Amino acid sequence: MTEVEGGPAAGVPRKGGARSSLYNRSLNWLWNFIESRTHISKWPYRPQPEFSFNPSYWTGAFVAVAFILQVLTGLLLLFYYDPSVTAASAGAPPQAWASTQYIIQTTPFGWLLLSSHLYGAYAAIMLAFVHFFRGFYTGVYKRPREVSWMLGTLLLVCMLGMGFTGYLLPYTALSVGATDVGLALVNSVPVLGPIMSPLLQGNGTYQGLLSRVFALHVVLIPVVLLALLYAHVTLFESHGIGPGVSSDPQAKRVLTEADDRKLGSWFPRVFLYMLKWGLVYVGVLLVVSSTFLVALPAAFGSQNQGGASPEPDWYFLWLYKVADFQYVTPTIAVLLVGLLAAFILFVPWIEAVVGRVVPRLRSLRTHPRDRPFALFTATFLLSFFALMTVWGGVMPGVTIPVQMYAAYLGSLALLQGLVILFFYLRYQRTYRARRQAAKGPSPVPARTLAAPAKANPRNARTFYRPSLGFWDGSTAMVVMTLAGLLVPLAFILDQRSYVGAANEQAFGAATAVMAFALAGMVHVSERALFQRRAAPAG
Amino acid sequence: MFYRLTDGGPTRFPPGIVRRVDAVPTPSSEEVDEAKRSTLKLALIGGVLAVGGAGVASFLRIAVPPQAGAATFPKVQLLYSDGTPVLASKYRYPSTSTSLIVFNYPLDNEPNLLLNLPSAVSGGVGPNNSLAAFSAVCQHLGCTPPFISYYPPGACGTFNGGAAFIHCVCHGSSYNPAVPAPGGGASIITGPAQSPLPQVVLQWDQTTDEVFAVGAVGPPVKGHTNTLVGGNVVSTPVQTEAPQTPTQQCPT
Repeated sequence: MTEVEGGPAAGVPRKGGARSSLYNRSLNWLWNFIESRTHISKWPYRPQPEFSFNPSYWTGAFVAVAFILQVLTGLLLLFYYDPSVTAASAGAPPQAWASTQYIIQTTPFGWLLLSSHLYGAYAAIMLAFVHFFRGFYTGVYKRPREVSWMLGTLLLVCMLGMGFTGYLLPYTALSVGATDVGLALVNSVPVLGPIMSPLLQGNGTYQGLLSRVFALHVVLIPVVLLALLYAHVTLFESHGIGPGVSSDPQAKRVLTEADDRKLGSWFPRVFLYMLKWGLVYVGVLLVVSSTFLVALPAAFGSQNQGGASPEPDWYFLWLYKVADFQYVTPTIAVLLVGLLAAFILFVPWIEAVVGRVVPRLRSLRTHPRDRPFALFTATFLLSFFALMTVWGGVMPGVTIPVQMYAAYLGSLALLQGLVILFFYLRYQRTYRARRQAAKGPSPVPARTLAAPAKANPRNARTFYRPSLGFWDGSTAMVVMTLAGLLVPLAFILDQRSYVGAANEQAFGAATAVMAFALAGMVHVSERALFQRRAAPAG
Repeated sequence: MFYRLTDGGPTRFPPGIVRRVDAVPTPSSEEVDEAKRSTLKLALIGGVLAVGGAGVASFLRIAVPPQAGAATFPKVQLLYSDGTPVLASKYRYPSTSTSLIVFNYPLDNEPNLLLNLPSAVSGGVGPNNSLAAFSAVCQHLGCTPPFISYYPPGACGTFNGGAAFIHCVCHGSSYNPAVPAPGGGASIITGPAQSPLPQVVLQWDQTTDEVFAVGAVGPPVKGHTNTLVGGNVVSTPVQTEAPQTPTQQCPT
């Protein structure tokens, strides 16, 4: 059998060998075709350093994938959804609710679609919070990434806005109730409230409200979100990936073009990596959606809407519980939220100002152990959100007396502050001792961005250099992918109307299997191409 | 680099012919008239601000529509959802703690609870002066039925001395329909609501036993700057909604 062009690198044992050469040849043909027709490896995306190929560096990419998927599922829902509060016939529920029910009951796989849009929204918000806290702890917002951080904060606000506006659309008793509460909170904003409220409410009727909330959810907020996302990603591209935590104040913070040249092209390394995790995300989302298909609660104004619990979705439970606090009037609640948002928005400069007051804290050190102020605020914020969410979930609508919440939050802050202070002082003592012992300027070696010393095989013209054998799993993955593809295809080609949980779940599971199989295949290819080999001895 | 058009060319050009331009050197700092430059910058900033301000103002003009509403309170007769008139001497709701009748008045997004209370109340009509209607929009954050509802006497032990009350499960506000607030409406028993629950003024026709809504007292309905603004006026006569099952949860 003929060898693939380029052949294996010298000294690298070859697995699978002849058996997979057709497979390799086809993939090489495909790669060469794509590259020659699109020059994809020359596209203006930057390569990423070796250390960044770890999901913790790609939390933002997960949010982006979640958002793209929300756009896709949302566009499909838009085909059926009717934003109207009037009923199709006398006595029928409002069209907004009835069309949602139609998606669930009559549209093939509509139930799965609607469920995945809901869980996708939860995932997007959860991942955005993960991205936010990861950035907070690792100090990515420090110079020169302050603007990226501010854009990210605005993106988080937009995500929550998407959650709020999307909640009204099914027009259940719960969603109208939650929107009423949200509007009352908007109305309570001093000065701006009376201006913002009619923008949301229109002429004051329920139809006016639904029309505007629908427009906000489907067009206005997504457009703003996309513009902010574009700016956020462009800034990411211009600075390069955040270099991870470091105790070295002189640590390199940006990737230069010289670094890029050492790293080669963004394609296929970054592409394959993101593709793999994107597919894993799709698979997990489909598994969750098809396992827990959502039921539509009773329509607003219907007779059997009783028994609905008045809580908002989990991502607003913290705010809901804050409104339960004694003396926290709606105006105070929205002012607190505004203060929190302003704090997060300006935290790069707030940390710098704190650093001026306590000079030891003012540096570009990004390791949390060198940033007790940020460590404390991030931890307190995280535990505040967690505590409030759980509290709101188990004790909804129960007024909390001032001495109780002051004691809870105060003792939490005190405890965290003391623990962080203790460890910080201890760290500083050992740090100074080591510094004295070393008599050097800094005991911590300067961290530089790792760059592979050797030329990387990804620069070669041939894509799949190492051969992929059956036992690498690649062939098995291909078989699974094709099998996974056949199931949804069978569903689509068969003209019966597939409604009902069992069909939806089978479809979801089959598509999830396909996504996982594809992710596995990408993973195997990636490993074969880019796994780090032990340097030869000597 | 600045470019200057060469002299003497025609003002219009045949297509395909490009006018030649000569590069001129950037003026050195001595040649720059700083005062003129500052004036131009100021004019530019002013212009941008004026256009931006006009844009925002016109956006707000377009985006904020005239509020729907009414000038005066309409007089409407109350009917059951099947179209039969509500008769004061026969009105039994809420007969139990789990059924409730709601009607919208004066606007179609302002629900009210129509209650036959255990004893006479301020503003009550009917043979016992016990028929009264209170806003079903909580004054705290605007929760509506099923979250705000009526609790008959003894529904929650000794809360409110065992008497009837209106309670919202969203954040726990409770109102006492038997005790009118100074400005009218049901007074607050427990917060976090800051103002009393508005009351609808009812009128009873003794000869026919029919009930009419004619006005409202107390603060504006939550979410409205004025009870008469921010919604469509209800059609006359107004139909109540069929008995509903509210979400009930005793205050602690």
